[in-house]
Amino acid sequence: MNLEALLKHPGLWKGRQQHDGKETISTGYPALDAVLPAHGWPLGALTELMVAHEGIGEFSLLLPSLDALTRQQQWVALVAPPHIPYAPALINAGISLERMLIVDPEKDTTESDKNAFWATEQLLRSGVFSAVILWATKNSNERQQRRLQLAAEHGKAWAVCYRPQQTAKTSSPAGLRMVLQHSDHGMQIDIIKNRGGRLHSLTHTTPSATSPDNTGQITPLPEKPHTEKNAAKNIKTPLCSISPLKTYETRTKQ
Amino acid sequence: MKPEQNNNKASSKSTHKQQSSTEQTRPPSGKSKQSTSARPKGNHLWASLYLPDLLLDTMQNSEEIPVAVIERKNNRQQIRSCNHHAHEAGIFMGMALNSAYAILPALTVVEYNAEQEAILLRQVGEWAMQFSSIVCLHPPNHVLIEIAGSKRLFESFEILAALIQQELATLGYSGLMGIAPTPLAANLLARANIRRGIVQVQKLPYVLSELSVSYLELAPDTLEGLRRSGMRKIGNLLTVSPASLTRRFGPACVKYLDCLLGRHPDPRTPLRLTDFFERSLDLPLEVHDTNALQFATQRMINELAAFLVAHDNGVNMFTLTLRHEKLDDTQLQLRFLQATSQARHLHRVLSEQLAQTTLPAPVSGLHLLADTFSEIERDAADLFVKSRRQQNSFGEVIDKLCSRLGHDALYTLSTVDDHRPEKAWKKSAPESRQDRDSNWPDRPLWLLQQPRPVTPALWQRLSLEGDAERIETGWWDNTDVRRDYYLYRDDRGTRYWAYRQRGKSNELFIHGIFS
Repeated sequence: MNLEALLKHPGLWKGRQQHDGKETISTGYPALDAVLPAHGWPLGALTELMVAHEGIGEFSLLLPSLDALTRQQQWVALVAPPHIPYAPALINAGISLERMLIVDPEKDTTESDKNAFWATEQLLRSGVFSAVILWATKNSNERQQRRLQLAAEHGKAWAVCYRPQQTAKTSSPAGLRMVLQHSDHGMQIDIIKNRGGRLHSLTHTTPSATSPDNTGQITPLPEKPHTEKNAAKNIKTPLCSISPLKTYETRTKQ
Repeated sequence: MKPEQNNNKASSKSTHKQQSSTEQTRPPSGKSKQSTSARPKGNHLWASLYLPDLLLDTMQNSEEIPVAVIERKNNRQQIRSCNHHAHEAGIFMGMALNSAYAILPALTVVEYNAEQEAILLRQVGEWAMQFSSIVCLHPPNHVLIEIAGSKRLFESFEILAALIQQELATLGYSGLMGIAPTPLAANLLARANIRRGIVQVQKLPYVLSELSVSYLELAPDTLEGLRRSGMRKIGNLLTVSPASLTRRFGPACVKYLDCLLGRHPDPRTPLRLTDFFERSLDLPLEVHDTNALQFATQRMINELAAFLVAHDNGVNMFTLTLRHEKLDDTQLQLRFLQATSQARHLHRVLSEQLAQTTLPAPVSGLHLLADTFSEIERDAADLFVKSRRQQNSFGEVIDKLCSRLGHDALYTLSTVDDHRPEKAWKKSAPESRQDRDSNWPDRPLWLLQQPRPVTPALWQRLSLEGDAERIETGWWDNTDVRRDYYLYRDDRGTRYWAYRQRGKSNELFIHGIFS
């Protein structure tokens, strides 16, 4: 196998893969776009969001991009959402509901997890959907994540998988991994894997934390990006991901 | 396609010289060719459409480009037929394709395909059923329309004939028409381009005797034999005694002439416009697993797809019945979001559904019935033009998912104008259009299926945020709601939408989660 062939191997990723900037979906937050190598959510790759507790703003984070996609008449899908995605709130966020498919396999059966993964993979592979968001249960394993990553590559789609925070410890083939947790200022975003880019920590401030009047519009405030040097150190709770993260940082600097 | 092109094309056909009806020998007795009284009751009158170049016709479009149909003969590719523009450039029937390209490099060619031609002929036949209830196919190039029965509806058969030819031209086909009391004579007149119809059987020999024998639908070696024996016109042939004709050319020739002149009955099977598709298959060996069934269904599905294409229709639903020797049949219903006629898609959905099926007993036979059709949405592809890599259509993906997860598992959302939070949304079928709604008050992204009472442990961790919202409605349908909604945040950052029921206990219920 020569070097060219080796570089094309899907299992191999290059440390500083250049993104052409065309195939990207803006996150809607300039500060977050700035730290992502694609200047937005990566297309053709899996984004893993590891959430400490539900309800901290982990879904709101995606709304600006889902809003933009559905308004461009692109299809997005929510697979196995944990509760009813509430139409009035989605309308408030500007989403065109007729472009958002809900895939809701029967819950609490032996097949439900398998079906949710299968459906996500099919939707990603189809090339019809621009974004597919899966709420995975604890049972998701690396092999399944790899399949999602490959399906996203195949369909040039943006795959998002919500996973429990514990899974941050395990390795994953995803191109972008973020740990989302609550902080005093809002939701803290720790990027623990950023293919082709640096690692960062950011804070996402939800409107209700700052504005007491609650206008009803979800208007995300711009994040306050921490300086790159302090990014890793700023993770407050002792996350398992800190130590491998530091070694990565030093390695790239050398 | 424009009618004038058909005229061009018809005139370009060197083999079918137009012969004016005035040149024909008039039978002395023929005065009133239209009179029904002259025609014994119950007799047929056939209008034959001669469609020599169905394939060529489908190739032509409004642009004036030279097109030709080619065929492989004697190990070389040659021109089978060509249109007016190609003919003017010097291309003729039987010319080698290479020579044709040398004259006219811009020539567009398509290879002759008998199956395709048969499909087209049937399409014309089914189209012709708007004029008559009796339409017969006479492959490869004739459609026979019985017009005696339709005459009353269309005043006279001339008007009907003109209408048929006009409609055929708008359909984009160039055809010649002949009208005669026997199917074969009608065919003959159409091929000879005799525009004048013959109503009475007795007149047939007079009119036909002047025509060249080359129009007869006889075997090529019979025609060659006739030519060699110096018989140029049909009249020459009619003077020969049947016995010597049989001796010379076999019984088929005499039988043909008898049918042609109405001396012998020539029954035809009318085309039936089926509005359903049905196929049965008895399996030679009982099948135990669904994989083997997929193989067995392949042919049926291909035929279904061909049927749909011929009808220019798509299928929304079909039923596959698996017959068991001792148990009741297993019925599989396959539904499609968008009507489809693609064999590939039909196969895929069927195999997905078969994979989900557990066979209660070995399968001994199959039965497929499709009777719900609708037009295929031609603009379906426009709905997702922007998707980057179009490998499947939206409908195909949805059908595939539905066949495994069930139809209830896939939906889109829409809002309902109702103040009760649990009634302010509903599920809709994918691809249903929705009105863009106005603003709603601040609402959580997640609504819980069932409101959840706040446990004392959680209550300890909650802190109130913002103002309360009172929702008091629904008294008219006995599901009235009297609630005060609050925003709570717990110490882990989760924001809840919770309510207390007014006038009832002080208990707090979580109804939604801001996420």
